[in-house]
Amino acid sequence: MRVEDQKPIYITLAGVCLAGILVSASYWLSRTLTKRFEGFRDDYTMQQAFSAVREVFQVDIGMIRFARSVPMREESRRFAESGEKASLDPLFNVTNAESYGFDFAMIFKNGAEFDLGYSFADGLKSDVIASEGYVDDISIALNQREINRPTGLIIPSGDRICFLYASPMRDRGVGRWGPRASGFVVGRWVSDRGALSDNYPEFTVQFLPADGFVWPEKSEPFDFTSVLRDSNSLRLPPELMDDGPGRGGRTRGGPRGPGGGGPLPRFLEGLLAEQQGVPSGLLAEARFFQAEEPMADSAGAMRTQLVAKVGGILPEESLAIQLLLPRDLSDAVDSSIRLVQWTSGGIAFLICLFTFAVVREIHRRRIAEVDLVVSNDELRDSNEKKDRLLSIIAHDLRAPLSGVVNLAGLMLKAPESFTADEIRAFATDIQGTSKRLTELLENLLNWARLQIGKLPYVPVAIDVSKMVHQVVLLFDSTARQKDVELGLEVADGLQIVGDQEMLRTVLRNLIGNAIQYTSKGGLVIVSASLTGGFVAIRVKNSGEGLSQERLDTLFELPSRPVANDGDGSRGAGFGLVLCRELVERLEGHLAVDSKEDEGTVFTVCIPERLDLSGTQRLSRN
Amino acid sequence: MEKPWQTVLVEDQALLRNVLAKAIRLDEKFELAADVEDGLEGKKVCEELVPDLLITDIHLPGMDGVELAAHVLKKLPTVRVLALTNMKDPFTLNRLQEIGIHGYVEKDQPLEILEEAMVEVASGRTYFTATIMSSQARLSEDPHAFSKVLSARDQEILCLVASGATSKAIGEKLDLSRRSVETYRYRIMKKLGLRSSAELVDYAYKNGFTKPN
Repeated sequence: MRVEDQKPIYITLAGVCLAGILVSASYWLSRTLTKRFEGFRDDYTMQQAFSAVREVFQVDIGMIRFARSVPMREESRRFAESGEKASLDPLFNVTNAESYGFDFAMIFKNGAEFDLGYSFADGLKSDVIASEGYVDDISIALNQREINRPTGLIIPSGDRICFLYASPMRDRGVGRWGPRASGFVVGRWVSDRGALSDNYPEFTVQFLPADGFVWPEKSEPFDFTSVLRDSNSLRLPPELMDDGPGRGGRTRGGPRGPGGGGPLPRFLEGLLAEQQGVPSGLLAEARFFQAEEPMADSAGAMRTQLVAKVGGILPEESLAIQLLLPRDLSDAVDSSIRLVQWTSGGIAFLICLFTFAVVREIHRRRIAEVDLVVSNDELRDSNEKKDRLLSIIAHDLRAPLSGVVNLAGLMLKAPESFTADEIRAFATDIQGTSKRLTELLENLLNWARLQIGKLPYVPVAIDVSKMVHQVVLLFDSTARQKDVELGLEVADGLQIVGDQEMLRTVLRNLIGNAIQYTSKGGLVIVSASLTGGFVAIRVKNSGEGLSQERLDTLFELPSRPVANDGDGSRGAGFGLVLCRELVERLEGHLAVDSKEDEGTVFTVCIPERLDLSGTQRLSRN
Repeated sequence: MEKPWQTVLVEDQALLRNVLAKAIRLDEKFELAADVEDGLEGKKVCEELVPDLLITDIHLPGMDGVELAAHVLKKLPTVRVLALTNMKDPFTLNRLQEIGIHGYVEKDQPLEILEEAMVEVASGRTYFTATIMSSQARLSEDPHAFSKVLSARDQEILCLVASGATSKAIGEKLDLSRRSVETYRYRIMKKLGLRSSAELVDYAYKNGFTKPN
């Protein structure tokens, strides 16, 4: 059974192991999934980024085209000389702005001197006033850059503005760039944290000063230009791709861009033909970094952060463009992974719960089983006790009776053979036997009543001295018959509170036993005294004494009929069992002390009490 | 008329002993050589007198009736032995059978039956009442009867177990180690198909494995 008791532990362990295996399996699964999906996400994010950037790039190309289409040479000279601005008017219309993709166009004279500007916001053309902030911004930018060379395209940075600066009006006759050179700027607003383009409203872009920008740690630069170059979908207008000799800076001769068939699109080469070593495009020259951790945009949505370092016309003017790309896919991936984790976690939890329930149930059953076994054992025990008792009683009652029956048979058969002496002797035997049988029955009945709680307990104040005298007197003749001296040493005035009948039964049994187990000429002394608040009644005989083995089991129900010394009527041995129980009922204690060949002393100790008051409280308890 | 059979009566209960003694005295075929109440005394008297017939109770002070009978049957082969007892448990009956007792009569049988048994046993035949016959028949039918599965040592130990002795006490008594006694105990339980100590004690009790005095 002890081995079986360990089963719940095994089941608990198994459950915990199973849950553990499941949790680690789900961890492994989600990790693998995460890795796979992270790969997908990266690819996807890159593609998104490429598309978005390509779009931007195309917008820029539109701007370049517009800048390129601005009348050059004669027209511009005329314009410069005459101050007539109307010649440019056809260019500054909304249709052009839309088709070339710019938000404003401005003409600067003499470097940073603002001359004319239009804004094309909301599909309308409106004048740009010199006092507007971004005009100042551009002026300052132009000033700071000391633009004094022919430039196809420049990218200055401003807080909120990105613009292309074309400087088509140069004085060829002078052969140098003079202070009168004028500039033509086309550009568009880029809000601080705005959408990158109409097609990618989810993408936000932000221009940051590269100097103060903290590049993300662990970021790896990747070659974005190669992607742009390889992209077949990037189709530039033919006039840009194959710039004619009579147009643009290219016709001006001079060294070409860095190597034919170089890394840059041809139109850029053309545009930047004379600007060797200068960064050439908004994004074509960008170095991109993908930040590892996602970043929240102003709305709090998680975005992939893509940062590009963009070179300006001058190296120190490089700026950072921060792109925040939506994480739609990765969110889906994340939620899938989370779902897997939650599911497996839930299953593990359920397994734990189930195991717990199973173990609890097993435990409960085991306890119930043990309880059942225990109560079964108790039942069997008491049943055995009853069986044993019954058979002992049967034996003890029948044994003396068989003598009586046989005697009766003999008397019937041969009545004439009995002499008067014999009849007297037999009659005495029968008398003795009957007396002991009666005693036995009385003990038996009392004991049975005590067991089922039906023995009446009527507490009264008992004069112990008096009662001992009375009982001893009862045994006077028996003792004399057996030639046993019955002595009495009782102090006066000993008083207890208890049931009279119970005490009398105890005394009767103890004194009767003492006389019975004392051989001829022996001595039985009954004494009573007050010792430490207890009334102690001692019954001492001068018999053989009891063996240790007998002493050990004296107050237990015997397991078999006890061999006795004559008539077999006292053999059941539960006189003493009854005595002990009665004494305990009287709130006292029954002890025995015996030495072989020195006799036995039984001592009954009952608390001395003079009146009923204390006892009733106790008996109720 | 032949010489009456010399008879020794061992019975611890005074009234029954006196009645039986009187009955024997009245019977011409028997002569009461002695009537004693103690097993040891009975043994002494038998050795002294070497009677023709010994009538003995089983449950006796001093010496168990079975032991007395076994001793007499072994040492004094001329003595015929008749058991007169109320003990009807299979163990006692089996023991009586094993020592080769000549007769068995219950105490509650009428005097006539006892006389018949005395005559049969004294004349060299055997006499058993139905009780012992049916008990033996049951034992011989039952393949798991203790008489078939338990050795003499097993039975001895079972008796001690039934008397409530601990394994240690039994070991001391039989000069065995506590562990050997426990092994015996376990083997006895196995042989009898019992599962717990409580069942063992119960079995021992029901089959009369009470410790001989």
